[in-house]
Amino acid sequence: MGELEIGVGIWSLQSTKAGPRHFAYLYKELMEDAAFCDQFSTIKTIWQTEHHFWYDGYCPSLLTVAGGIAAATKRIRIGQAALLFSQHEALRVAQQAAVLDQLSGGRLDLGLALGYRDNEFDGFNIDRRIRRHRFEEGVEIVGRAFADGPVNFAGDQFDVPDVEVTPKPFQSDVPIWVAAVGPDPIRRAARMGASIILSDALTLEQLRHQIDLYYTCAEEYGVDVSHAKMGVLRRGWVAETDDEAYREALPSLRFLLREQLGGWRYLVDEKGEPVGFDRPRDLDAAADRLVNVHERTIGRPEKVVRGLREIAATGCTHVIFGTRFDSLPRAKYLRSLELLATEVIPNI
Amino acid sequence: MRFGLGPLTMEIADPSKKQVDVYEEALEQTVTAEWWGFDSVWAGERHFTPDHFNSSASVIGAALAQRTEFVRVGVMPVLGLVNAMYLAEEVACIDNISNGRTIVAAQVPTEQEQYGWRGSGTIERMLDDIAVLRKSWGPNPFSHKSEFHTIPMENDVHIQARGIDKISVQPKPAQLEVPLWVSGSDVASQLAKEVGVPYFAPAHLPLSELHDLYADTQREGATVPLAREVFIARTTEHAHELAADAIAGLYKRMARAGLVKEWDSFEELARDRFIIGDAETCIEQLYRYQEQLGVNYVVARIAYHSMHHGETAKAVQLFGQAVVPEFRMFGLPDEIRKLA
Repeated sequence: MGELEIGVGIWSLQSTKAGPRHFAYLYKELMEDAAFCDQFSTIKTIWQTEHHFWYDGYCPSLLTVAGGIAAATKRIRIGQAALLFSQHEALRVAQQAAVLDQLSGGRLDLGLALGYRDNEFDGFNIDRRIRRHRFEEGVEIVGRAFADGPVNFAGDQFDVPDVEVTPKPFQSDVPIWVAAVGPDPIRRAARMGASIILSDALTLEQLRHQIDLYYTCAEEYGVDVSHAKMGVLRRGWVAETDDEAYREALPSLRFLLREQLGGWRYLVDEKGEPVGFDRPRDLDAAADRLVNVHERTIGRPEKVVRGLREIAATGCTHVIFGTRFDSLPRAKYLRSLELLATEVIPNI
Repeated sequence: MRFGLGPLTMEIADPSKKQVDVYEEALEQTVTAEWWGFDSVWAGERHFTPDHFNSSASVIGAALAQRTEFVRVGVMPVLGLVNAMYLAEEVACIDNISNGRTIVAAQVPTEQEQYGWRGSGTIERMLDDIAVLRKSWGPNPFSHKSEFHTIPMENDVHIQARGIDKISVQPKPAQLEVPLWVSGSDVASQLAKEVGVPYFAPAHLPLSELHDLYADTQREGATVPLAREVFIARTTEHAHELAADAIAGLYKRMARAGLVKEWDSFEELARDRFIIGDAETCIEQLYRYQEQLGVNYVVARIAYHSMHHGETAKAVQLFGQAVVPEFRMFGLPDEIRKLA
């Protein structure tokens, strides 16, 4: 079992119906949170999340906002879980990523996903059906843009002439992470040799299965994945006692799962079919199942250490500890982060 | 008159200096400018240049917004390269990070072919981009159909199938209206007239060309911005000693990137273009622009990345103490002005 890295997240900057906030307040809080996490060497990475045109202002521009995070911090790495890559222009993403990597002194973990909400593709006038093509061609463009020499790419979705992207990133090898929900994306990520970010909707057993699948595929393709990281998003919360942690975090977690993920048909029922607001009972059941999964990383430090060790035992090497819940008192939130950094991570 | 620092270009100006340090120094220089009373700090943007000019005003704009507290944050994105919605979202984020301090000075593209863009004229494209930006930042959901944008997509399987034909860009900027300027030469000037926004001449255009470009772009009481190469020291001689090579170097790099024409001598290049000298010289030069063009907002570069960071900081301080008051402190008694 390799060493388990812990990142924190996932910052979405939402002003929800239940917890409306001024956006300037939310962005200020993000910068303060980032500086707070930066103090703890045990927290490896700060992770952001993206959506577009959602009613509550869900953050749409991760690399731009990451510029602010980079300016607020000195040490912590900055990752995207994930940038909805198929909805963007790949060349522009490559340019912004390179600038961000210079600005931050090489602290970028570029996390990419396909994106799935119809409404977002429609807003950018991009046909959702070609998202896989855009993703795969886009990854190729980013790779060429980061390397020395011109991009020179002629594909079905993108056409980039004989032009060299400058500046280059600071890191000679910017880590690329791919958000992988389901077997096909895992196969794709393995073929690329990319690190993966697995869904927060997986049980331990499913997690182990998907990580095994990744390594099996990599071997089939003959790709060296010795440097790839196996990441997973887990919701979590640390307090002095289990009871306190449940009282603080569980209602917010339930709200997050039902209202937010329900609205996107992100949750699935036992047959793997997406569940939305049209099936309220199934949605509740799906949310409850997930609460049970995440409950293992909610509690006093000793309990969360145990929960994280279980995750490490599946082959996972990076946990995105998802502590961002709506409307929680700030002092308690910072206390949870501090306990994570000082009492949990050093003892995993 | 108001003053800004920049635009910061962050290119590789001195091969012995790492670019990562140039970025950090630039951020520190903006904090110095804020401390010494400047009104704004500016992030430039150019694409695919051989000397690695900053290629994302948005990413750097967010960094400037985070490091500063009071000054406005000027971002200078190149328009017309991609769907304008991306920029609309990025600016909204910067405006919230800065709590409503953003100014956008949109630049005319010269890079559209590298971006695979072979459509019709630049001005039509820029007009359309500006229309999309304004709708995106406005309070209402919108749709937009033009030669360049179809928002939202016209298809029968997604949102339109559900009877929705509009999009709302989220979040909205913090300020009521994001100030929008346009930067470039004749295309930008023409655009400023058509859209009714301030024309913002770049630093490389000489005074002789500015009269025509600024003509009919100004509305009563509106901002009239201008960018200039500026460097200041205690004596004019010392200012030249410190900055002439640095500015010449910048123009060589800009010429290599095709952004300016080659020149014969530095004196020729500097004439009616650069403001280099002691406080008195700088003040005198700035009055010329004020009188001849009606300029009331000068964005002064001062920060040249091949120079020693400390020299830049000293120049920013001196400009703030010795030049800015002349234009801002109306009625400043002579006796106080003369105090060192």
